[in-house]
Amino acid sequence: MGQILSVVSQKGGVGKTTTAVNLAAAFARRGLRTLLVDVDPQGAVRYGAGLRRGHATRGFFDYITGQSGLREIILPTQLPWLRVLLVGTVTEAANHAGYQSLVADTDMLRDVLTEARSRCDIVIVDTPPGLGPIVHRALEASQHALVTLQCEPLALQTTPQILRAIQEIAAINSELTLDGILLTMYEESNPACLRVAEYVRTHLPADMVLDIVVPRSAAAADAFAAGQPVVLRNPADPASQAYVNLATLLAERFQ
Amino acid sequence: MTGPAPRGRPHQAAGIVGFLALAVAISATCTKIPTDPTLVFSLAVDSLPGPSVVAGDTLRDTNGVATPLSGRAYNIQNQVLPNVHVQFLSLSPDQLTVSAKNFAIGTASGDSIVRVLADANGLQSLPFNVPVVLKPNNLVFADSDSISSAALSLTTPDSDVSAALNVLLIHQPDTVGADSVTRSYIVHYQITYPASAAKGMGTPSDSTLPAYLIEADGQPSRTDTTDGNGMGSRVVHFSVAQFQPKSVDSIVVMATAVYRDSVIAGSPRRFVIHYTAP
Repeated sequence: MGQILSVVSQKGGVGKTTTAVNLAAAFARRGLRTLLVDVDPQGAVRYGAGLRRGHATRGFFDYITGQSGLREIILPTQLPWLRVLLVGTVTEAANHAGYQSLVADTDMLRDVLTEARSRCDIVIVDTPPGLGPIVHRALEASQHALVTLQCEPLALQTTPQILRAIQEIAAINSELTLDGILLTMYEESNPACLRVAEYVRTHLPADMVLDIVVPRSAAAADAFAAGQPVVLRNPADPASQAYVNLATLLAERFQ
Repeated sequence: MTGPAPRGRPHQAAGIVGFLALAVAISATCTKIPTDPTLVFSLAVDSLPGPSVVAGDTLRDTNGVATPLSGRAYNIQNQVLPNVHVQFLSLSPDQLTVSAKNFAIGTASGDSIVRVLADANGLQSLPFNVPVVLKPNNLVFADSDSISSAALSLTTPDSDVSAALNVLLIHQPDTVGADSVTRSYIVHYQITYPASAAKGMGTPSDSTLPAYLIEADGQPSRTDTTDGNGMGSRVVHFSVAQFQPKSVDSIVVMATAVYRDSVIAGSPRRFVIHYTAP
């Protein structure tokens, strides 16, 4: 039975999707059967996961509304052991309230993730920012949570909220473990960034903040623009190495 | 003659078109990564053929056949590289060794969880666990009251499952020493009576079977892997209606463990579950 890891954050734009995509690629490239599931209605995974040209745009939303079967929406990638389930055509809608209600009011997300878990070593869930019903549902079905935190002052103010939410859900889902807070977009040359990192490490329990940090990297941005995970496009880049190290750490924890 | 376009819009539109063209151009030029198709780009590692390796023996599949670890190397085009050998490596060679043909062999003193990884021309897989376990010698009932009827009165809708049918897999050392247990080892369960229940696992919605075996989360399952305490367990799920109008009946379940081609002493353990109509 595989493990389900939800990548969460209170704030948007902190490297959540980049982390989900690259972790998934790092796991799959090194031999683990991996499914990357996008439940964020923004649907950014499709731009960076290395999907083949002309791939289907339907996904989880289309499955839960009965418009598609699971088989037709699990997409192949350039890695044989990485599959992707996009969020689907809800990304084209102006209003995502209906999608949120569907996820919140049914057990379909849990059912899909549980089914995926039985067939994969790792299931990675890219969630929307915040603590809405979709994130709650994802965490209720997960064994692991990873919080991404951009090294900038505003991010600090939102961290307690997401940690509290994980704690509350862990009271319901006893399997859920917080694997750590991952500092992203880290810049050694930026004093503000260093101060944030130091503050976080000082004020949170030592084992809660991961030693691995993901540096800000032009290669990572370029890779996403090219539709590729940076761990595949530029394995020597420091951001790639951070994700590979993180995948190694998590793979050992998950066993 | 058409009127003048609203100010700013042509400029804006041209900008958007330009931006889109640039995005398409970037995408088109970058999607293909120019990488040698003879190089290893990714690995696939197959699931272990069995849950553990017995100390002093080779990894075997669930039928007892010695089976190597296996995996494949792929190139950037997602094609298998048939000439690239995927070699597995043990990170604790005092507990487990891996032969050149990838047979995993537990050392005589092995009794731990060993990390193993695969390597193909320098690309290494993430490590995975291979338990090395003590040789199983005896299958016994884990509970003194394994044959239970009290839990099976079926007087409420919730009581449509039996008590757990628990067995322990015991390791008896060749030399003097205390018995211990064999963990991570397969135990097979089978309903042998009534015959109509023996034919299959059933599904939660299958109301035609009088009984079938389930695991802890309710899924049909006839096979368990012993836990860290050497215990295997399954539960019988009943379809009460299938027993009517009989007021008294019984269900027989056999638990068996096999090492190589032979059943382990004590196998099969026989559970008789007495059914009394509500």
